[in-house]
Amino acid sequence: MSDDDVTIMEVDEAVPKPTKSTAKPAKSTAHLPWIEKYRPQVFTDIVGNEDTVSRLAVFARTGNAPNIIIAGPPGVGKTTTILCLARALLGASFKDAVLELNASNDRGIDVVRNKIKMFAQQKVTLPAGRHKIVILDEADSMTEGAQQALRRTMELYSSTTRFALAANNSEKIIEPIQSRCAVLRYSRLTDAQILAKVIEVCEKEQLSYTEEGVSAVVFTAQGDLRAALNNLQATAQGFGHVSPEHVFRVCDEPHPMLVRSMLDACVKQDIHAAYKIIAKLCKLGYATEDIVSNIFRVCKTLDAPEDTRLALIREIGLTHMRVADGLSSPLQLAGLLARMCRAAAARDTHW
Amino acid sequence: MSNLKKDKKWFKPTFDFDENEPPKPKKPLRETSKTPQTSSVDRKASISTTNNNINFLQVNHKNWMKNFDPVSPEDLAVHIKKVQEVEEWLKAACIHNRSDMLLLTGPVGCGKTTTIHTIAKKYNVKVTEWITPLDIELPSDNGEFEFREKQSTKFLDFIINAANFTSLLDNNQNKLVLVEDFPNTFLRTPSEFTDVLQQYKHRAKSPIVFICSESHTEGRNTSISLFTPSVKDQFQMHHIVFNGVSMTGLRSALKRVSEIISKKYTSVYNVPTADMIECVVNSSAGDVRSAVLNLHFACLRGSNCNLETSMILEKESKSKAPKKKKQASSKFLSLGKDQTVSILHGVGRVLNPKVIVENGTQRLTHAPRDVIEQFLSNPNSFVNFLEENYLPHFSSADQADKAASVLSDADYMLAEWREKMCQEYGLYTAVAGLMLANKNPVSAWNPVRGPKNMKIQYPTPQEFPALDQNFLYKGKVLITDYQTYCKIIGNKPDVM
Repeated sequence: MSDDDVTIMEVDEAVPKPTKSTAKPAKSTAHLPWIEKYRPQVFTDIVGNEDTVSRLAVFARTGNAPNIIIAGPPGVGKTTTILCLARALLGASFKDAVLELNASNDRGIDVVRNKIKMFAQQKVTLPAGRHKIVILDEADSMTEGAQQALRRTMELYSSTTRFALAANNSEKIIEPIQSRCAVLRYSRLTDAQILAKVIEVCEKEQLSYTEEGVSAVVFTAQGDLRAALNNLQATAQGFGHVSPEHVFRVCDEPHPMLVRSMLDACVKQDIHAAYKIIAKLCKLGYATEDIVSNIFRVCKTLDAPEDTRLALIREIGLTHMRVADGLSSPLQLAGLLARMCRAAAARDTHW
Repeated sequence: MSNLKKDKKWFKPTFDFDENEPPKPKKPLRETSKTPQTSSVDRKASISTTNNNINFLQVNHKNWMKNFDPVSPEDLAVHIKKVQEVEEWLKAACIHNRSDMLLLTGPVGCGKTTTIHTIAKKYNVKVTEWITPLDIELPSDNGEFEFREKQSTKFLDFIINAANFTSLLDNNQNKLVLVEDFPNTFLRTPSEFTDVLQQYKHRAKSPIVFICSESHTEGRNTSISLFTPSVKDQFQMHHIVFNGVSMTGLRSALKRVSEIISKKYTSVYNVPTADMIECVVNSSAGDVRSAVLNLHFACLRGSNCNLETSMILEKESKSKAPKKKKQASSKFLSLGKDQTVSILHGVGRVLNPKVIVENGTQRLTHAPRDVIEQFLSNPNSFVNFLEENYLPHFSSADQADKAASVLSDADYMLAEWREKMCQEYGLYTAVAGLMLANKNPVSAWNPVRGPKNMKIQYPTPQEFPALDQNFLYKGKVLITDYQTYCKIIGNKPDVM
């Protein structure tokens, strides 16, 4: 019963290491998205959060893993870690002893009550210290009722089954479950970690790239390795060469250099220059929300005093909220510019 | 499914089946609960094989946490008064063999279930627990699949049978029915539950215990929706409220755990140091279960990284309402590496910003960006911590005004559904705003407090009429404000 739930992630992985892509028949990986093709299969391949990962690796060796919740932003390897743990713990019986459910599966009270319980009651022969694993991906999107139904199940079958939950926001998981699990926090990957991985993939795929192109990929990813690899693959398929223009064309984002010069103009309180750029971006057809979130990303790394940056980000955040409320007219952007200019002007007296 | 079955120890399974076969309702496997047969076996086995790590691992592999379950009431981390209260109730109830009812409520992980089990063991009372079974669809006469039995009927049958009929095997006259896993149907229609209780009262001959954990989230609070005061009155239900486990209780519980570790598990686990125990105690907010779990995680042998820091990291979430004591929180600030900032550490960094001058420009030693990275997965609780603690760190009203204004902005951005999208803005605004607003932080030592007044208290159904009278129930906002302020006003310093 768990088979079809697992196979999605588990494409033809007879060889444990994806790094040996050449050893596999070309057919099996050629049509895979790179994020699956380069999904780490062992702990040592996981990028970032080494401390937590090494600790889990100990459990993978000795068994007796507790129930865990891994919380962190998207694309940092939460699911990958759990799958690695499951694979290391269960080895060949992975397919029988793992039940994976994510937000795309139905996870209402009935599923938790029936499907998960049924799985927990199944008999699977495992070595000592190993347990069946129920993987609940995106657990923060489970309804509270379903989580409530889960908490007793978690304890009742604790001698045979372990739960591994992944969530973006640990606050969305009810306290009784948090109390029953060890909560591990993953932080966003640094740009350097993503850069290294992207370059590694480029070399494996024998892709021609420029340094700026790769950093453009890193910029678009914002600490999300999955986004980085997706963007990289899109660029590679579209152009065969990774350069900044190609990357921004494929990802269709406002060019950060434009946005940066716009912000610089705002800091200098030159609203005309700033507005020209925004008008151009609007004309190019970018959605207001995309422009605002792009401004935010650039602003985070803007070379300005911390207090200026704070004032700007505050304004951007308030504008983003209005845009999200449905006011996505260019007027909001113009208003944002004006307020950013004023914030930059007022910062000496204000702060 | 099989929860009507009683203990079936009279046949010996030939294959390696778990000794704690889950569907049997008799032995719940709460990690802090007690199943003496297994652990005494464990104990004997591990004594005989202390020299042999492999064997001993096999003995304990079923449920590691169970090795640390309390054996006797003295081991419980719960306050002694509460234990006595439960003990007296149980004694009285068992003597009369009446259908007495007890309701236990309390925060998550404060040892409610464990207390019942431990005391029941002491008095040799057989506990039978209801576990909501699978829904099995049976073919009906016209060929369609349907649920035959209503959940409430099954529930009633089970609790009455469990209360009235002694198992053939243990001949134990003293019985106790335990309900922790309430069938969903009762949450939808509480009146059905009242009917069931009525039936039980008339027909059953054993006491019954209900356990509800309190949560602060909206709705689904079983203790409020099912056990209204009128229900409690009607059935003369005894209600015992547990509090979170005290610091001393936690500490002694963890000491016990570390003794067990040092006696038997030194091959797999490092013996926890006093410092480590102190850290766990401080960050687990009165939750014994998570404290033991975290200790388990922290003292695992074989990872070379320093234990304290990572241990703090993994417990941030639990510190919703930690009760910090002096030495502890100052110690926290000295722990922790840059990559693994605990929530307390983070609060300290934000509220005591240090500015260094580099090449003529001022710069914060800890960039707000790096701080917020750590808290992206729980922005609200971090901001709540900041809100609770920022004021004592400010020396001038002007600066405090700025801080309050950024915090209010942050709150606005993190409110309701926006949270997902705007969490980074909100966090950044709060963190950077506080760090920059505080030009001359107060250098006096300030303990970090948990955000206890920030929790929204939803009114109970029976409070609605009272509030409506004064026209106070005008939407959630007013009612939350009203209640929260009442709480602040009524808050006494000695009440934890």
